[in-house]
Amino acid sequence: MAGKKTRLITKLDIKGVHLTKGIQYDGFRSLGDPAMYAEYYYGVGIDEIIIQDTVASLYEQKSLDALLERIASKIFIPLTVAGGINSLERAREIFRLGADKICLNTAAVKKINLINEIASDFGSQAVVASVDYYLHEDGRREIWSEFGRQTTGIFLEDWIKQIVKAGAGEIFLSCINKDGTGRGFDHKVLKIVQNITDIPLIISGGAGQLPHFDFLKNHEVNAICVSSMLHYDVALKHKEFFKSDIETYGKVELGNYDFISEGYGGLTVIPVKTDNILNIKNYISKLGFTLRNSKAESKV
Amino acid sequence: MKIWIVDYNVGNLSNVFRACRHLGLDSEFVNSADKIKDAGTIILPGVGAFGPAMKNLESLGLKESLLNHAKAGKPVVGICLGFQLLFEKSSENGNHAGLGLVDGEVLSFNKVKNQFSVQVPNIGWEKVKVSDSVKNENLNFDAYFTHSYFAKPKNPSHALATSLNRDFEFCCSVLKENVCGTQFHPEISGDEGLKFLNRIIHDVSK
Repeated sequence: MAGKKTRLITKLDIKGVHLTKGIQYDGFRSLGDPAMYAEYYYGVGIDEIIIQDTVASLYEQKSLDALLERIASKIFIPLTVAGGINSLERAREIFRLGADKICLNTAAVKKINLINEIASDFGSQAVVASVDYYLHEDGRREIWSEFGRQTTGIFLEDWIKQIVKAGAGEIFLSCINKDGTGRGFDHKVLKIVQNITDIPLIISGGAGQLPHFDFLKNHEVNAICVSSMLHYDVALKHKEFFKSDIETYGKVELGNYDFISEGYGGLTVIPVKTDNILNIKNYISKLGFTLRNSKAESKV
Repeated sequence: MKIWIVDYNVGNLSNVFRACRHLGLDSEFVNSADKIKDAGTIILPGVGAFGPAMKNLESLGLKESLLNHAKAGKPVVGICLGFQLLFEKSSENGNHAGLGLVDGEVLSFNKVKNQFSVQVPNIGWEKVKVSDSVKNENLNFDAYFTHSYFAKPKNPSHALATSLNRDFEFCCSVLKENVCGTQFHPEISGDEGLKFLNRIIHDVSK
């Protein structure tokens, strides 16, 4: 059986005009200009970019729109937008501004039929169910909404069945405990979800070094989302991404480069072994998978 | 060269517009029969469902003018849903008639689930195998797909390229004189996608 190409995706967590990166959906550090990161990643071979507005459902604001248009004008790969999409009209607007897919999280928890509403007009393949979950000590995985700010009392298996029934075309699966920790993926979740559904899956949360992708040997998945490893790699090499772009942003400081490069009290608290897209793709390729534009030969 | 992009309230026009701009092609949006009358090369984009899309074309008075445009030998390029609309019919959520510019129909991947191990929807990057017997050329590149339905042209000589959904091979591009199109999104398939879009635009615009 011919396998599918594995996708390497990155997510840009946005707060206002800043690219940020947190740990366990908290403690967000500003890493600079998201549009520059997006353009850079496109140039070095990322397969897809997700833009997450981290405060949209909190403030019900549309601060993302101008940024979305800017990013869409610079990249010619799929762009998925997440954060605060809570109506068909808002989804339509986001598609018009340049998104190829939209994610529903909080809005789906509040009204699951919204998935169906949007999928009916735009096709299920344009609607991604963004599933953030917390892995409890007893092994249960609880769905959390509002970008990690709200527990729901809904658990994973149930939720997956519901969102598939509601017409989601793809699932973006993020483990909140693992996010930003660099301690590896919660790859055990894949068996649970894939026993329920065969729709495309993206796993996210915890990539900290190349061996963390070894789980693929035992467990295939459509796509892998890596953020900290890539963002910090770029942040340390591209001081210019932190500079305030007066023309575009006015006098907004885009990030704290000194903190990133020197740390606090001499401790650079970057919890991952930074790396770049080419190296990650080559590593995954050597495990026996094909990816878009990967240089290494596949074993298959 | 100028491109006329059909705006019929179905999905993402701006990406197609930006791709054309990047390729150095001037473009404008058309949403009325009048404007289509004067059009040269037309791109029919689309993200969404077949039935509602055809309804929109009809209610906007665009279906007739598109058919006349194509019958007069003028170029039409269909992308994703726009590609599917070129065919005679689709079984997406009921039976719907398409534009009928290319013989064949649009079917669900679910229909072949018994014989092949397809994934539905088919989302991701896959190899596109282009076999152009006219130009005597074979070329491969990776493109981005996102669809649950696929087109099956009746005449194999109209099939310009194929791709795979796991182990199921399907037609992902057609070229029939002045009409062509792609199932994948050439405007978000990186440099090679843009190159292919440029090529087929020029192929039908000669």
